Amino acid sequence: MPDTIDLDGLSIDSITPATPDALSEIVRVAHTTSKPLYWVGGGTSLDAGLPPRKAGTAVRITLLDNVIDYPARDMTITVQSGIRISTLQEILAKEKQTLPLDIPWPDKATLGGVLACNTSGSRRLAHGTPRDFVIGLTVLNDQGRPTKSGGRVVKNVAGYDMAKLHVGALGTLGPIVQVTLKVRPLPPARAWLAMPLLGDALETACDRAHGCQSRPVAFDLLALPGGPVAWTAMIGFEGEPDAVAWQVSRAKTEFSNLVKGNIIECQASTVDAMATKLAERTDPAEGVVLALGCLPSRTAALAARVLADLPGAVVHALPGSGLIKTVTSALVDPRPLLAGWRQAAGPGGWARLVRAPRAWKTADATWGTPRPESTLSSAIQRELDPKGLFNPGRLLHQP
Amino acid sequence: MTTTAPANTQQLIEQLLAIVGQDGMISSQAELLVYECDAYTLEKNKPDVVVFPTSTEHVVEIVKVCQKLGVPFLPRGSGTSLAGGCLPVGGGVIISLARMKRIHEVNIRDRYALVEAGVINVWLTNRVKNDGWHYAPDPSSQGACTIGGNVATNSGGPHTLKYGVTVNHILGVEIVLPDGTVQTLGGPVEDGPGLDLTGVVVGSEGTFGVVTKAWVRLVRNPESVRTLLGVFETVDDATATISEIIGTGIVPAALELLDSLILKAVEEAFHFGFPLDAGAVLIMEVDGLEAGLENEAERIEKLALANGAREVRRARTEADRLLLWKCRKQAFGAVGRLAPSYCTQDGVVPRTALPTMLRSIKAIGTKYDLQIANVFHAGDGNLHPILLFDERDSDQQRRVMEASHEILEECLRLGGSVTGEHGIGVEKIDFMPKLFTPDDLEAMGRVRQAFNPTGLCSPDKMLPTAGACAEPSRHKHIKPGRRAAL
Ligand SMILES: Cc1cc2nc3c(=O)[nH]c(=O)nc-3n(C[C@H](O)[C@H](O)[C@H](O)COP(=O)(O)OP(=O)(O)OC[C@H]3O[C@@H](n4cnc5c(N)ncnc54)[C@H](O)[C@@H]3O)c2cc1C
Ligand SMILES: Cc1cc2nc3c(=O)[nH]c(=O)nc-3n(C[C@H](O)[C@H](O)[C@H](O)COP(=O)(O)OP(=O)(O)OC[C@H]3O[C@@H](n4cnc5c(N)ncnc54)[C@H](O)[C@@H]3O)c2cc1C
Repeated sequence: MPDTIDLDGLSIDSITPATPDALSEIVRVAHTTSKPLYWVGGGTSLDAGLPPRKAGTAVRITLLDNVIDYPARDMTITVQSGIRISTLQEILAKEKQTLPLDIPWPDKATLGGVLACNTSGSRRLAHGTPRDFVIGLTVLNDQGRPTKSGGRVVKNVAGYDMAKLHVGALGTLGPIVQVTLKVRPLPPARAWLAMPLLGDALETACDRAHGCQSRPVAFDLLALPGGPVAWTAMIGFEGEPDAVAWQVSRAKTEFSNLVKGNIIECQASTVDAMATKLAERTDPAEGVVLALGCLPSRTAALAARVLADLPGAVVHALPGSGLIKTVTSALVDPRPLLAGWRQAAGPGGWARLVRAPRAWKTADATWGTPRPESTLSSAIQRELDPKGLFNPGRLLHQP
Repeated sequence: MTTTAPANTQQLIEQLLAIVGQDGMISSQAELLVYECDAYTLEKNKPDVVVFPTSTEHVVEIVKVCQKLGVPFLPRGSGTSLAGGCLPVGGGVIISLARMKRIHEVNIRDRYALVEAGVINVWLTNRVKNDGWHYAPDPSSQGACTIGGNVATNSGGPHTLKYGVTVNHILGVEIVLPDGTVQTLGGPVEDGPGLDLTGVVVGSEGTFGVVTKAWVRLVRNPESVRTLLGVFETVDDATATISEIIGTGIVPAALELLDSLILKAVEEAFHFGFPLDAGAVLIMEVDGLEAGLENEAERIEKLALANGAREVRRARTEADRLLLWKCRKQAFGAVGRLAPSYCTQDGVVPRTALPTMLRSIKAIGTKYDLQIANVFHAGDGNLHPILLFDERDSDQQRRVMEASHEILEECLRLGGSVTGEHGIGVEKIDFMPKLFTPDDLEAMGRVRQAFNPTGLCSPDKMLPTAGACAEPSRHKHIKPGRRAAL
């Protein structure tokens, strides 16, 4: 049954294939009719990238959510891409395993959407990003035929690693239908500390996290409007209970002179979901979301600048990875700030609009000035999607 | 066996000479012999000329000359490829990165280093170890192989079990594309916009251009390490132990298996004190914070004993530990004591299929009347059966080929792959149609087309000719693949 869907301002019909073959058929037909297709997973990030301009059909991939194979002792799992993140985690947890990515709104977000957006969060510091977990990938080519790369073993260098191209491609190289992941053991113990920082301690706290004796899996900076301090550092530990306990006490000492008031140890009930909650802080359905990237050593200064430029905004920074996200109200147009932020981010740094009113999302605001290598990206897109049918125009400065 | 006409070769040499000078070139037949193969010696072909650029600008000029004259070219690091990645199939120019070996920048605070492609893997770790950091991917050949070669083959090593393979540690590259343009892909600032081109360049085996620099991730050293040696009566007991360790949720830093045949060679070479009557030994290493580590080591020890280990030894001192790792990492070198020649395979199976696979390898050895030694990254299921033979005996050569083939077929049957880290090169190109459908190969061919439209960069590697579009027809008559060598 076709229903309509709002795709970042474009209202189009959607269809929901029930099998991979049905999805293939949809792509095959689109290939002959030259009508664009827009993939929809959980719908939590449909405004990802540039707004779509060409009419077409939305294709919901949510019914393709089977587990194909889960040889738990090999620590790999093969699933269809429409599986919800929370479902996937529940299945893994039964075998005391996990996919250590911090995905906002996991009840809605699908694995395919996560891979298309290369979503990550706090614990990327220790575990990496989606690209590090995909060992095999099946997508449909421009004629609707399945093409795979990689395999089901954790180590494999046969053929080009096509999965790297698809992860983060926002669906512009084809729909992801099946994925093999390597997974990790669930850590037997976890802890999070919240450390309200003294006014001038931001930079020092980051330096200390870099060189401290404990080995945090996450170190985040969070600015929430109306709090007693401007910045709170969140530090996370995982591992054997002894090691976690030792690190908690160690960190309390190491950071004590940077803290205003007390270091708060998070309650057991909130610890497991802490990283997800942190990610959701800057991924709301409403509001304007901006993201910045810089070298780790510049993060504190850049995050402070963002907060100074946008008083009252929520700012969430991952100083270990040099990433900052911020949410502000839609009443202020933050675009004039982007140029200054890009400069402050230093060489290779970037700043972009992630979520904003459609009219604000110009190519420059969304992706920045085209880099020289975008010609290569375009060449790859032309090779894999010669008719420009897959999520056209969403990634970079496509024609 | 070159496809470049002699007159053309003369022109080629003159133009290259103008770029790199006499000192930066080899063109005499005798000296070119060194470059007719890499560490995979079953197929050979001389290049027309080898050049040694010292800068990215040199590489650009060289590549442009090759394109203008329509001559194939091929990047080469240290030539330790075990898959014939450096075999100049259609002759042409070998671009050696051996003289581009500067470490441009080490930035501990931002956890990266910027190195030229010819930097030897272990130099980087040596450079940062006093600060308490290292470069994690540690192929056994790390004393010889280059970062550029590691990037091209997506190398692994014993410690990639916990720390990941090369691609997990490459932040960006500078690459000279086959048309001579220089591109910077990725870099030390994470999550830049656009496709992850760095990710697909890693593991492209030199077919996407010449990598001239790489930004690599630096990793902090673990606070503590425990290295254990489990001694087992049978290979089966050792592989069962691996499954148990992984199954209980421990992620060891390394899990390496050596069987009795390789133990004999290694013991003769390094006098470690390995028990020569053991069926297999397992090197089991855990690392991390001191707190809790002893606990983990004890759990591993118990699991090994419960699975039939005769004894579990501990490396008591750092010197002990280093010697043990030397034995492991130089095991291939010690194989010379067992036979004049050897051929190493690189199959992968799901970890739980290791016992089955090792029994199959044994049966295949018996069937072809060959000795096969095993020393491998057991925790990843990445096998390295070493087939021993005498190169002068053509019947033995034939049997090695057939047995290798059968081993790799068995890996595929068990749901694995024919290569975990050494690459396809020319050696395993015939397996690509077994691993992948024509549609899979076509998609890969299209990506290569975007990087390497004329196909002059590393022709006849990785993708079988039939699967790729716009393959230059000039090489068609030279069938790459193992048969050609015999
Ligand atoms: C630029 C950007 C950066 C982001 N950064 C972060 C971040 O740093 N941290 C964070 O926590 N969250 C981030 N997000 C949010 C993140 O995208 C979502 O949490 C989640 O990954 C989306 O899952 P979904 O199933 O809801 O996808 P949807 O919202 O349904 O789709 C999102 C995009 O993925 C495509 N897509 C969906 N399924 C498939 C498929 N099977 N095959 C191919 N393409 C598909 C869609 O076409 C669409 O372009 C970011 C989003 C964007 C746009
Ligand atoms: C004793 C021994 C032990 C080994 N152990 C391991 C191991 O544990 N793990 C492992 O993964 N491998 C191992 N290998 C294989 C080999 O060392 C690796 O593949 C290594 O990465 C090759 O590096 P190299 O500099 O020698 O590259 P080369 O052999 O010179 O080249 C390998 C491939 O990379 C391409 N290439 C080289 N440099 C560049 C460049 N700058 N740009 C683009 N392409 C380039 C070449 O064209 C070729 O296709 C071992 C080899 C030996 C001989």
